[in-house]
Amino acid sequence: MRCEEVRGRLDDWVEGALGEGEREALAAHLAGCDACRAEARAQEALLAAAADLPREIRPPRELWSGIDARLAGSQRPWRAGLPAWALVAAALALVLVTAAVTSILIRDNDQAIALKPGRADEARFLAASQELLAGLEAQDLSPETMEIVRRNLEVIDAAIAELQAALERDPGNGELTRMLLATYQRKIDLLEQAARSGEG
Amino acid sequence: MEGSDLVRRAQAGDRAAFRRLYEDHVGRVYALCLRLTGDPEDAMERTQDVFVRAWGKLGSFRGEAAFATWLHRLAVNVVLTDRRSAGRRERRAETAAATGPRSEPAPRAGLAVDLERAIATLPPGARAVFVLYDVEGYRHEEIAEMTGIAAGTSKAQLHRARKLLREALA
Amino acid sequence: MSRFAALAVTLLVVAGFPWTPLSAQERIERGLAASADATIRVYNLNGSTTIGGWDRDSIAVVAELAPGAGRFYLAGHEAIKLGVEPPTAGGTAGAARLEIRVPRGSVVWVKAAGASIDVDGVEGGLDLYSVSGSVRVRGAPATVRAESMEGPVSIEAATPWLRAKTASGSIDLAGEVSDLAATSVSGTIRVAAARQARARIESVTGEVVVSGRPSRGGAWEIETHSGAVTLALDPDTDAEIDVHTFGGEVRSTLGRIVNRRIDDLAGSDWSIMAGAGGTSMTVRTFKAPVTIRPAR
Repeated sequence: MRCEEVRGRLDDWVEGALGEGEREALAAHLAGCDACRAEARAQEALLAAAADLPREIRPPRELWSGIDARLAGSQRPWRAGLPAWALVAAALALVLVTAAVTSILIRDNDQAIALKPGRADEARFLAASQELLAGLEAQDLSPETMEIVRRNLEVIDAAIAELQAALERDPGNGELTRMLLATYQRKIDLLEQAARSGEG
Repeated sequence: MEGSDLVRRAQAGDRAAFRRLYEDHVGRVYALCLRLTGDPEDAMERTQDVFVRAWGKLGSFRGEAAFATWLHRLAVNVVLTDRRSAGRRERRAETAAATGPRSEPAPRAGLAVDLERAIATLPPGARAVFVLYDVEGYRHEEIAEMTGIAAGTSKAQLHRARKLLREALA
Repeated sequence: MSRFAALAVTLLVVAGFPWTPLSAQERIERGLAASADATIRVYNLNGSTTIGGWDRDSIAVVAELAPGAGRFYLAGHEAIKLGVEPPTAGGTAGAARLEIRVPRGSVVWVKAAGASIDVDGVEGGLDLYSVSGSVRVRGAPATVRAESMEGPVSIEAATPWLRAKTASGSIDLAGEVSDLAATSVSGTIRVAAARQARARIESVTGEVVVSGRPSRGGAWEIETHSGAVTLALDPDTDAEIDVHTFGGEVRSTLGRIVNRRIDDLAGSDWSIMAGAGGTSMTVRTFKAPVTIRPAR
């Protein structure tokens, strides 16, 4: 056996995976070669050290409170709450439309107050989509593009109406609220996509 | 309380029970994340991800394997399949490789301390295989299944990792 | 290679460009030296834009303009703009056909209205927007964002990051994608599962079909309002599939059902274990049927 061959077989050697003939040939080589013998010892020492590494290491910082905060959205492990990306998207949309929301609340005070607390988000999405739609109309898109938008808005609005009706029957259902907000998000996405198509 | 009781209560939505599970297992999960990422900050973030993910997936745990085993595999998945953290890990690994071992204070220069530091500077692929095979005791077939690489690649990465570590520790 | 030499080579290559002429139209052949990772913005409203990556530091364009298509332009070095400027805003422009070669590492942005967009072999980032034209991508781009309001979006590429969006067009995705998101209102979304680590697919009424064998460790989220969801997966798929629906029918002939709860008001929850698990797939619908079956 040559040195390179020996080095290539060290993995199998430490695991006892060599056949008898190979093992003997390797042992014979090690007996006569200081460099390979040192390498084999280093391999054994390495594996012993790896096996001895501590199985547990305490994290340097307390981590539970961060985890706990992220669990807060979900009632039970079985059915997770709003996924993180949806929350981010919703939050972003809300931030973007704060001004619009304010104006809607002032203009349409009675309706805004009549909404249940759980549906305040819905009012904001509604405001956002109204603002985007107004922006689109001002943008002078082609009639073909506006027709695509109109058809798809009908589809989304029908879905929103169904979800609202379901929420009337089961007002406390968080999953339905989440779906409703996700559908509003579709509407905002559609309007934004249409707005992008009109940009130069 | 028995671990399996805790798991059942956590599955039913009991957050306090889940916290007890966290306390029992966080040391192992963090040790794994630390060795797989080579970076304490990254590892703490991954550890949190693992427990958040575990909470969401507890419903799919049916006690066929031990909870620790299930959690451990989940941790491997979370760390190795997160592209965002993979990118971050690689950048940090490059930095570490360029500047040599991190200059953290090493109170005792034992082999274990040197080894932890050397593992952190391995290239990500070799590091993952070394940690899973030589530290955690998974087999190549299991590693292949968890990471999506071929068993032969796992063997080759292990060979490379051991060689680099022998050199680093010589 | 100097810019001039590159230009000379480019022009020579352009001369031999494979080309099928349309009817009598204005035909323009242009070349331009470009950096290997140039940012290229292409603006062509009507007709077609075909882009191929090549291993040269230059851009070559063959443009064929129908009468009334507008004025062709091409300028820049690191940031290059090219396209067809329509004659007047508002009027319907004639069609332009662009065939473009760009350095393989380019970052490419394309804007179209009725025009189709076809990109192959570009390895930088892609941002492709059409209204009613099709969008097609092949190759291994660094990132892909592909949108068409109504045209079909078809992507068969190896990329770590992909976002596809349509209103009423279809989306077809295949290839090695690590992080995938596909969104539609009423268009069908078809995804061939591969090595996605993360995938989210959403539609309102559009159908969703996921086929193939998702790799272990992936996390899939699929949500529709009334668009039917079909998971037609390889029989040896390892996945935990959780389904929640308010009014849709759930049928599963893959793996085993490990949990099922049905409530008139709250809807039904299903948990299905295929193989040894390891991939998480979550499906939520309001009233759409969900079918989980082995691929035929």
